[in-house]
Amino acid sequence: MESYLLCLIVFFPLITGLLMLFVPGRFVSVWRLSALIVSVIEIILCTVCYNIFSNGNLQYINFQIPWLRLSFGSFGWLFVDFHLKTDGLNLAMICLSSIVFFASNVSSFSIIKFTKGYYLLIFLLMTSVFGCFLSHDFLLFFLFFEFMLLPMYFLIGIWGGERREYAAIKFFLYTLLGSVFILLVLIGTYSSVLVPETELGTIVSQEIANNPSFKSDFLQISTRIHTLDFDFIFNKNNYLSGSLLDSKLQSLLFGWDARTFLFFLFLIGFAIKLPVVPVHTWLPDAHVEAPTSISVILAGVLLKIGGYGIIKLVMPLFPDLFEKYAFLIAILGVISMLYAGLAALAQKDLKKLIAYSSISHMGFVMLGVASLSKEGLNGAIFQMVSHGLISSLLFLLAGVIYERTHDREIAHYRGLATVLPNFAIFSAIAYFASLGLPVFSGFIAEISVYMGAFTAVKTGVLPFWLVICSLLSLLIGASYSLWVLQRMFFGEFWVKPSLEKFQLADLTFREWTMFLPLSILIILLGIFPSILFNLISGMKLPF
Amino acid sequence: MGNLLNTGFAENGDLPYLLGIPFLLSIVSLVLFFLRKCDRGLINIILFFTGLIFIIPLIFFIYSGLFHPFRQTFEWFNFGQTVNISVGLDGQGSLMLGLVFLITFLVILYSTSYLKSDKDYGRYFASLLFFAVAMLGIIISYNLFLTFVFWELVGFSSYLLINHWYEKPKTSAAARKAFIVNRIGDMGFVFSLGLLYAEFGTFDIDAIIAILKSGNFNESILFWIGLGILLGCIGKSAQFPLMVWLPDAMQAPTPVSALLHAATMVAAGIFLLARVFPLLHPDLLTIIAYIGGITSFFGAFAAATQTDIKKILAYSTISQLGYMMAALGSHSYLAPLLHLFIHAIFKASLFLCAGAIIHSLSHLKEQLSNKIPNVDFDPQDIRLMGGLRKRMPLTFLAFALASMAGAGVPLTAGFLSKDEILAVIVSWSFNQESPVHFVLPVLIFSTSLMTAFYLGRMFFLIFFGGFRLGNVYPELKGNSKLIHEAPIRMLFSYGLLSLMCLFIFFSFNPLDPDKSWVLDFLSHPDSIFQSEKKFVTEINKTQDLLHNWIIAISVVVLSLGFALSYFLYRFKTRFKKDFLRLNIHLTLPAQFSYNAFYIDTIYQKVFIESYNKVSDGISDLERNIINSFVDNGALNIVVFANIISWIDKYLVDGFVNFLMTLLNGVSMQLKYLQNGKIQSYLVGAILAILVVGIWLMI
Repeated sequence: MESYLLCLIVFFPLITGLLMLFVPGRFVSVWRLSALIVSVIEIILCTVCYNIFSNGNLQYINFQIPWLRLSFGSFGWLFVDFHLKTDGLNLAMICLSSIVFFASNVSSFSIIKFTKGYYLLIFLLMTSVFGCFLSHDFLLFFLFFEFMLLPMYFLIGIWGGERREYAAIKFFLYTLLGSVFILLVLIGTYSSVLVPETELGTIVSQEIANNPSFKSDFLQISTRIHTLDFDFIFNKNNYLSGSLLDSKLQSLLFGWDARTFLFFLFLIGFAIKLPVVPVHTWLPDAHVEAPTSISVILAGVLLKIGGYGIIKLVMPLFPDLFEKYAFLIAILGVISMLYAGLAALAQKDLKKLIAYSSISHMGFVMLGVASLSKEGLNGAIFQMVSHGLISSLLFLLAGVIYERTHDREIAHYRGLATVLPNFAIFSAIAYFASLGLPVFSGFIAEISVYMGAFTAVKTGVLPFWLVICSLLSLLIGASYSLWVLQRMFFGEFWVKPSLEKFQLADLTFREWTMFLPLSILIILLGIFPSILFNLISGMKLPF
Repeated sequence: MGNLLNTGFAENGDLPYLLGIPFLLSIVSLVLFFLRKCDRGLINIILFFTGLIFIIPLIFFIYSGLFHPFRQTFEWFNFGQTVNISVGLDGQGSLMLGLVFLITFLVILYSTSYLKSDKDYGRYFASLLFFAVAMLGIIISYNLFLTFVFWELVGFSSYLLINHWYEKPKTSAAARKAFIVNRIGDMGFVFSLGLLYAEFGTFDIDAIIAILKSGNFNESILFWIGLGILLGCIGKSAQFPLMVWLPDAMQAPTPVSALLHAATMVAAGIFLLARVFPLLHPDLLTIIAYIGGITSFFGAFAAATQTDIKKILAYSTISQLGYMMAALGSHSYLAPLLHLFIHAIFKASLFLCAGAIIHSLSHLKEQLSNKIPNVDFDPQDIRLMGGLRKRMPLTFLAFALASMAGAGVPLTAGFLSKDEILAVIVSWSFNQESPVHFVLPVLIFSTSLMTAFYLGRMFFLIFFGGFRLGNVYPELKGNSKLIHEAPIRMLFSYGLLSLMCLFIFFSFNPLDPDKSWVLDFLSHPDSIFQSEKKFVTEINKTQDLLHNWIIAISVVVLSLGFALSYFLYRFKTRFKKDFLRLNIHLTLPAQFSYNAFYIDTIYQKVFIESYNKVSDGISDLERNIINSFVDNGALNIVVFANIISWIDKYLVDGFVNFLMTLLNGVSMQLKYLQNGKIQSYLVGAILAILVVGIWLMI
């Protein structure tokens, strides 16, 4: 029964969306309510999964049904199952996503244009996000991964700000480029991985049980079964000798073998999504132009897929190369941390500042995984979850002021704490969380990444100077966060004269329902990090 | 947990959890925060009962810490290795705990009167209690990770308290500066946490010491670890070169300055260094000594010409913290701690007195503004004060006692600790091989001179002579009732602290700090460095030899300082009228002193501006290069696509069309070949034969 839970998580939003098709778009509140209910149910389902996982001694939930059985002649069969499976990492991610979707759906109450279309796309997006995190097969993962682009493109392009079309197309092309790279790796993997001899018997007999005519087919054509299942693709012994993933393959191009090429393609593919400097420029535009509720999803969920891909796929698929190029990855991470942090300091637009701070925080993920240590990996995952919550909160807060005045320029406000005290309190929480103050989740994440990095210095993976440079991020993070607080919230109250006509009212009930749960979660994770660390403690380094 | 057994502390299972105190206190703080809009009376009641409830367990814990040091360890989380929450109390911790809670209690009492009319009364006390929680955390933590957590929280509560009057633009800038400068120090702290973790896999101080004692270790790594922690302490304790935040932090309400920026928070750096004292590398100690020496000189020099009463005290705090650092660097564990406790008491007292004076002058300002329009003066400017001893006699007495202790006049507690510090530093320099190290005692003694000078200057200017504000506003003449003695709650707070500045509270022998009861609970910890033990014994020997000489010299220096200030600010009457010339602005040294060696300006020019430039540069790079690269790339692709489309339309398609036209044309012509007319065929055949025939003939 448990296994159907995963299916439910993935397809519940889609099914609701399909059923809701019969509800006309003018019943706006019905649509809003349905989105809200769906996200609440998703939270409940994810919590149930979390409980099963953490009570049952880190037990995996597995859901597997046969899906594609393609024959490629003498090259062999391709077996793709519809395979969903939880482990600590993706459980953390779906729990995070469900919470972020909830916050986003509450925030989307302010959307009045084409409500029906908006929520349909949101339902589609939810299904593809959950599918992407839960899928245990590369092809399935890729399908969900690609499918995310479609709703995202329209959500930015239709409901966005002034330059929405530019931002949407930029987002789309950038991510598509990454997807193409990932597709190449998918093809390489498909051509290289076979179901091992030992598993062959069970798989074939299962097939025969399902489909009696299969046996004759199977023997006539080929006895090789290619697979993209995560259970098989990470094991070196399953690689066809002489195939693209085979590390002994000597097909050289510029002195590199095919495996190295595939590794870099894969890494860049996910690095675009993460994003990592210098392939990050889609992010500030997309975040700024997207409506608040979509910025929240972008920062809270979509960026995490980049990190998730690196941890879940790149690391285990290319452990040797990951180890070899850890230094390079760490440098990219540190550059992201410092460069984006400094860029954030110079921003004049509040949302852009938050966008750059997101890039800076994602640099920690890169540094953490590149440390090749357990602390670093745990820290990277913690950072993804923590940043998902914190950046959602930050974007929602930016949305509050934007909804009231339609102006996001930092310099146009001063002393907001006097007129919007509760808003100022939540902002202070968010910005202090973002700069990594203890008791907030960001601190635990950053400190674990640093501990991982120092361990890596000790083991000789990373050079000392690089880690010392990365420490500067503590300072930079504090300076831009406090700068915003000081400029916008403290001092005497003042707004740009043209904004004086807007009424600045403090938080509404709806806004409380977004901020309070997020703040509480951030603090809870900061004080009891075991909630998350226990979940991911079963993860093993592939090195 | 096994580590604890090795270090000789039994797991004290019977003791209630020490962590309960910070936990419950933070709940009270939260409650106050939620009730911040409530009536003042309710908040006072909550504060009163909080004090009542907490005093018993606190005394209990202090008692057990003093007589039966204990540790309690819990598992917190595991990110690879387990991070423990190890808390405990020993002599050092218990004394500090007692001190912090004494001063916090008095400051809260004082604040209930001082901030009576503040609109954010509840929020203020919520932050203050939150600070108490964080400070308590630093005191009880025996795990450096946990220490760092509370270390940051102390910085955060300092931010909140400095920022209490956030409407003032200066205040929030000061709060940000304090936090960011502290962050620089924290980078060092994280650095050493990282090294510790990579080297030992744990943050527990006891466990680390046990590991180090049991085997060989890499000395240089310990140097770097110590350096990182030192950087953290430099930030928090406002030492050179990170002392710039403390004078600005005086924007905070005065009781906050007394508690955080004089007595407890800034002493946390010294406290932590004392706690990790056994781990400190000998070379590092020398660095610490000189940082302390430079800072103490700097602070005292800058304090000598300030005109803002709180600024004087801030620079004085910097200078006194420098004393402690210097003594700690001179391989002494006891002297800096003793001075930490005594300094906390007299400096808190001075600040609270200053607060009372500021309070009554601000009151005066309010009253004056009813009579005279456009009244504007700074109630913190000592140039405007004078003759206050008649109007605030009790404050005068308290201030006199506290500043005597600050200068180290015999028979005060300050004398005991300052004497110990001077003795330690001099003995340290006597035991160094190179005579260069006599620089440090010279620095310290000149600091001692200047300390007496600036305290005397402040004292004379505030309490003696005529009331100089009366020179500006003649309405004040003969209207002395406008300035009044502080309310009883305030008076009680600093009165008690000033009384404690007497020697009798610390030692029955006014001349010998070694007889102090405080030292009974502190013992010099064994360093893990072998050479240390011998060196410390030698220092102690020298100290015994030199002790009387040092007392004599310090008394002489002290009298010189006081005499100088008396001569300049009391005897020479020219300042009585012309108060604005009190700063000898014409002389270069005074300029340097008043502007604190222009260090803020230098930092602004060198670091902050270049930091901003880098940030702007990166933003430009982002916009103009990377983004335009991407956009131009996209544009180029579009242009290329257009070219292709043109080519497609005109060349490829055109070629095809051309071919078609051509073929069409050719076939149009060729069709005449088969038009079925015999005559044409005949002409063709003849022409062909002719051509072939001619060609063959040639």
